[in-house]
Amino acid sequence: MAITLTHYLVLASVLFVIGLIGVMRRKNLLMLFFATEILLNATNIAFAAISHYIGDLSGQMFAFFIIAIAASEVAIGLGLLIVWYKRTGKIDLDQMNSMRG
Amino acid sequence: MELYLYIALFAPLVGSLYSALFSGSPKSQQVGIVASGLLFTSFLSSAILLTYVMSGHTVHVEMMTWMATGDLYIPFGFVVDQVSVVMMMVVTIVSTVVHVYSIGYMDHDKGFNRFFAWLSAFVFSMMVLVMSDNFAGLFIGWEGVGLCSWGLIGFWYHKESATWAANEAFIMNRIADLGMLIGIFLIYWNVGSLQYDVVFAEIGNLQPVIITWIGIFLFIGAMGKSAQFPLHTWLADAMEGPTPVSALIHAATMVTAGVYLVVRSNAIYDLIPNVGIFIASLGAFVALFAASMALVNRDMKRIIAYSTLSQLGYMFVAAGLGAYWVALFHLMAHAFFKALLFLGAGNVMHAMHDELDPFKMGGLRKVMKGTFVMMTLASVALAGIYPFAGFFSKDLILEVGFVEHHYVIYTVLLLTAGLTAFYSFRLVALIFHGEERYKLFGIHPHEAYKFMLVAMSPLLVLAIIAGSFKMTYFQLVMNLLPATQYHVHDQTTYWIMTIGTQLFVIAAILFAYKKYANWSNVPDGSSAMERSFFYKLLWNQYYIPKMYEEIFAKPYAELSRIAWKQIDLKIVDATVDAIANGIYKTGENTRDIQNGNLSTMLRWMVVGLVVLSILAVAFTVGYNAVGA
Amino acid sequence: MLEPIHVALGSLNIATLAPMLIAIVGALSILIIDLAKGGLHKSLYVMIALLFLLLDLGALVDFGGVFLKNGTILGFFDVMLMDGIAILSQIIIVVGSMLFIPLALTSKRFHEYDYPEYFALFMFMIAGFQFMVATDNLIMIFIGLETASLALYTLIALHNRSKSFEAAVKYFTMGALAAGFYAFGSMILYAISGSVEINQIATIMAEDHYRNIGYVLLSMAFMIAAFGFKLSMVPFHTWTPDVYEGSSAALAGYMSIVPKIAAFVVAMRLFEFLVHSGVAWLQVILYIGVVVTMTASNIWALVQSDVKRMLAYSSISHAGFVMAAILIGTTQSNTGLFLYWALFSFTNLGAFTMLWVNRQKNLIAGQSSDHPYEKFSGMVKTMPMAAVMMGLFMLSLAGIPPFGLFWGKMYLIGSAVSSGYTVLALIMALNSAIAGYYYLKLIVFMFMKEPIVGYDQYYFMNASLSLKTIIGIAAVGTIFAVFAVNPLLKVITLFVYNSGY
Repeated sequence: MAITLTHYLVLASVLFVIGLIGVMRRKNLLMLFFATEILLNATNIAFAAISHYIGDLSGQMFAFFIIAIAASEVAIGLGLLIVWYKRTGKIDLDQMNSMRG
Repeated sequence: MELYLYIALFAPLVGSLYSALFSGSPKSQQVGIVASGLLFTSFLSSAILLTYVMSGHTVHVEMMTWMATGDLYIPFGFVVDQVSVVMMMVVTIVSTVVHVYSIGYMDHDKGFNRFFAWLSAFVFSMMVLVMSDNFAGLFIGWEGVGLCSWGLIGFWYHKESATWAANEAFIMNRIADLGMLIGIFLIYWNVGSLQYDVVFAEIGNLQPVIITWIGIFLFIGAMGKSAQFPLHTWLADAMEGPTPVSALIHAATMVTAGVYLVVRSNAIYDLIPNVGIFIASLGAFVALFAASMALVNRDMKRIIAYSTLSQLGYMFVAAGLGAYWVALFHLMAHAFFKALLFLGAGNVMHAMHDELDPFKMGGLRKVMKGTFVMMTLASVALAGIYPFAGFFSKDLILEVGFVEHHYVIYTVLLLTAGLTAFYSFRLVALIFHGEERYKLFGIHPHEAYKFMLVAMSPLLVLAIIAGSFKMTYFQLVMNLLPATQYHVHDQTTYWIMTIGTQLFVIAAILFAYKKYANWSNVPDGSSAMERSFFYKLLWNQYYIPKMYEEIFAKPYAELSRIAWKQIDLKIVDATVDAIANGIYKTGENTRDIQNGNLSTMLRWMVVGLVVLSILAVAFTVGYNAVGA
Repeated sequence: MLEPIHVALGSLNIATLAPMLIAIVGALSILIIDLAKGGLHKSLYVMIALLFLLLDLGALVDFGGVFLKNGTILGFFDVMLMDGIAILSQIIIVVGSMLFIPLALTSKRFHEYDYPEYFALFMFMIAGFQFMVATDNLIMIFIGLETASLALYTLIALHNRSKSFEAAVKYFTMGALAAGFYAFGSMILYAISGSVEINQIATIMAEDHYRNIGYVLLSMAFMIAAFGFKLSMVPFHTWTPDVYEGSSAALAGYMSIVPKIAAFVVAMRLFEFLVHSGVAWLQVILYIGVVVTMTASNIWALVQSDVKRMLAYSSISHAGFVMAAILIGTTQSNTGLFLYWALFSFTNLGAFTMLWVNRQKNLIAGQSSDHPYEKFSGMVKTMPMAAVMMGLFMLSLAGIPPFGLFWGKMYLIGSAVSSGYTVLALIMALNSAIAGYYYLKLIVFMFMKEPIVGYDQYYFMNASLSLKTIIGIAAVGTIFAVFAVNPLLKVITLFVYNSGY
């Protein structure tokens, strides 16, 4: 069976949904970051595939930039996580509700 | 020239703001001097503009676009033309004099600085009123002078009567302003613009009914500001304010705004002569009505206030009969001698330690020579004796009545002229002649500061010679106003009328002197005259204030009480509370969305996305189904 | 073998990068100065930042002149797009930043300002926002958006309180999710059109008559979610109050203005061609979004007990109000958007600065937040001038004439009426009335209640000359807006109209 663009797009969508479910379900901050990475990488696959099938380079460019941005996001995210952990000793989302209303 | 226009307009505002800066601090003389200086600057600019306008030009500036939304376009412009420049001169001259005078008059008052802030603010509003080139600007100035007048009547706010009078004036004016606002809306509705030039050019194309309504509603506004019957009661009560205020606002400038409005709108009133006749009749009635009340009153300032009312009646007669330039001329002359009269009364008040009853004075001419001379001459001008200002302006109105064949009005005005002379000199005689009754009350009167008298002297000069400007003035305003000359054609009739009027007036003066110059006791309400019906009627101002109290105030209070207890508390408040509580409860119940948990927040976002996506899909399905 | 690519340098029109480069150079020079000599006082960095922002503003004004003469300027492989709305929004961004940065010069010492990195990050953030508005390339928008956002998360966290970390983590996580939405949305657009430039996407879609309408709408759903987060539209708004509460008042004020105008511009580029092509779905969604955002946030603002949270909800409501302009989509409404936001910047920054001067270092005993209403009770007796200022800002926010925001509100409502959205105009007016209630609540506290004994020492804890100057500027901007409205409108209309919106 030949792999067509549709296969890639379905894969990307499935990954995206997995990411979304992760974002909704995970209570661990680190896992949450993983889930957001899955979201972005799902998009990357789709971009690369579309770019290949329609013969246009800008999709791949987009994918590269997403990778770069995802990397810097992780850097910031982990930084915040470490500070938070040092302060409270926890990385559980449910503990994080000093502000409400 | 635009520069002078802006200086004339904004110098008072600067003065007001400057004084307001110091309003919290103790009295300092320099505030008064700076404010007066700025007003003098304004006067000089006005004078320069006057010479410019006299050479046949006008100045029209559009300062900025004030409002432009959709079809609504209100530019904010000012115009200096033949009519407004006359008003500007009157306003700046009188207010400069009053400012300088007030430096002395308010010398011992704690609110010295505050007073100047209000007074200059008033002048600024008045300038906006007269210089505006559209009805919106006029209305802003109109409200501004109302506000400042409220602040100045109630200047001594610790006095119950002063605050009451201030509120009365404000409320009565508001009622009238509503009428005026309706008039302005009608104009905008039908013409689509508020610019004077556009409105006056277009007004002839409207249906007569609409023009009539516009005229009536505008005149209702004028009635309030110029205290015409039945909205006249506030003016006498407004005398609670400091005397310079009475001189500036309630004699020379603000109360004449109504006349100015009618003169300015002459293009409208020319089309509706019936309304004009009504205005003239009402004016004549008020002239007589107010003069009669002045006959018996025992409050110096109120007598002058009634006289103002009566003279406003004269002006409306002229304006109503289409003699707009005559009305404006009398407005100008009246401003000078009436302001002078008031300022003189202020001197007397100061000397008598705020005693207002002329029966408790007498013989003051010995101690107050300057004031005596000024007030006498002002009264002569008011009575209309040749060659003083009043003769030229007031007799002209009589002639207008005669020439236009309104003999009833003519007769009423003639009679009023006699009454005017009588009560004016009754006042002068009681204050300055006869026995020194004030000694009974242990008062030691003294003349006012020299500089106050000097400050008043320009008004004195103008009160004497203003009549000689008549022809120059006529040449000037006939560019803008209908230039009808009013002459009694028959020479004999003319001379009989003039000399007759003069003799009648002089007789009234002599009678007043004879009766009151040698007055010796303070009346206590026991004499036969004081018990007569007419005296009581006049003394109680025709029972009109009482009637208002009974007919309007009391039922209104009762109605308000019912409305408050029954309607407001039980229905309106309950409804409002219910709505407010409902909203508040909704807020309280739904704020749990914001429970501070990050997981919930993320879920809300995903839910939002999912809902949007489902809607997108649903729409597409529907779209394709319909499309197919 | 690949052909070497030759690009004439002149055709790149590098000048279009100048405004952003100035900001970046500013950031780098702050870092270099710190490397050369550490431990310098924060006022130096404030001055450097101000200097570069001033240069930036100069470059933008210059571009404004060129734009009015020659029209839209393209540059750098047509990635950069300097049209009227880009220039206008950048001016608002830079001016807002110039008003914000002096707020670092407080009289109390705050942790974050000891780091030169704070100012460097701030300048990077501005460059990010500028990139975001000055392009219609989806990649560039993404880069700008993320540069700015990542810097912003860090700025919030630098405030170094437990609450600010919590705020930063919340904002960051939700931001990452929104970034995912944006990327996925762009991917769909790319898949159906084969381009990442908004105007080309619009052309291609119009050419095949919206054959793929389903996918277009799906991508719009993602985009609305992504920008709904940035603009805090309900239900993507949940971060706003928490993040505002957690960050310093000054930064909260900044966040209510600058990031939003950037997002508005992108939303204008992204949504308006669809609104114009009559895709009813988008209009309905935006309509609902605008109404719900305005109303719900107003209702929530009513029940707040902390002034800063109240202002947070109020700025959500203002954003919803302005979002209506994008829904209406006429030149008049877009002009109204910029006018509103320019006026709002002054007033809201003033209000938040008033909170900032009221800030003490630690919470008062027995209080759970920094700015409860009680702290302001009877302020008129102890600090009459400050109370009058705060009252002024509240009245302006409530839209009482003649203060600044009244004109913005009137113009926007006017544009709604003249495009036939009468019901929307009514809802907008009604919401302004509800909003008046909670602004007046603060005024009631300040002017009618008795001061709480012992609280007066907290009123002006943090004030310094530069903070007072900013308040003064904001007050002047709010009061004298009456005179500025008309010239401002003329300029804005010129810019908006000539860029085709």
